[in-house]
Amino acid sequence: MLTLRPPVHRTVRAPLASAVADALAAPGDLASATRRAFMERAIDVALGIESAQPVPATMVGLADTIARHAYKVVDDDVTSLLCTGHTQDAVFEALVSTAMGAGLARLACGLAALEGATLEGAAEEGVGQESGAAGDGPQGGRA
Amino acid sequence: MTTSTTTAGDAPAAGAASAARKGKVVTPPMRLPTVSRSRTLKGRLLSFVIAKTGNGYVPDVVRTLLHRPDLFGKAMGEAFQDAMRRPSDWQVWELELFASFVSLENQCVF
Repeated sequence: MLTLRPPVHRTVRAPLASAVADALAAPGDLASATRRAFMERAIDVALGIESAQPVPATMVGLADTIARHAYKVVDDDVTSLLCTGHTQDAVFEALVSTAMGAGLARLACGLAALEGATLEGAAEEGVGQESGAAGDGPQGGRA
Repeated sequence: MTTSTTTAGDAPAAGAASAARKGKVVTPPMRLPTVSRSRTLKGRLLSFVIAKTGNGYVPDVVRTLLHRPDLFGKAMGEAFQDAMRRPSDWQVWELELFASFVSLENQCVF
């Protein structure tokens, strides 16, 4: 039986906000605005929003693959980016920003489902009590 | 993204063969070689200790978190710690099970 202790999902947001801020603000090869664009694009793609945030054209393919299904990334996806002149640091920053965006989108979906489940669960519990009370009648009658 | 335990200057194949002879775990190199090495002294020391205690193996996720902790690692590690280790109605093993299940669904080695 779960207690009423503050749920983790309500308090984990502050540390995550710090992680997002670090990923965007830390010095690096990519400008902060570009990293934010990668993060926002990943959120858009993961949530299925059609007009996704634009990012550098050479990195669109890899960014979208990570946002949709990161397990499909292969070595050539990364080496081809390096061959087009991107530094390893730039690619790393783009990958981190994209992965964090994709993760945030999934977290949002999970939290939305959790909120819905909590409300539905509470509603069902109320219904269950009512049906249980109603069910006592026939059973009591049979007894 | 995984990495080998070869030292700087070794050819990957020679390093892998040497590690195999010593009975160490041999894993493929990172896709971004620079991620194999932490930018911070603390990160490199942690990598060294983990490699020493892990039969030469440092998990790729650890390498990634230690590479540039100012960008991705320090705050993210604190977020992981908060989510996975703070007082909770769930046991640690249950939280780890949830995480491994999600990783499995994502086809990502946990």
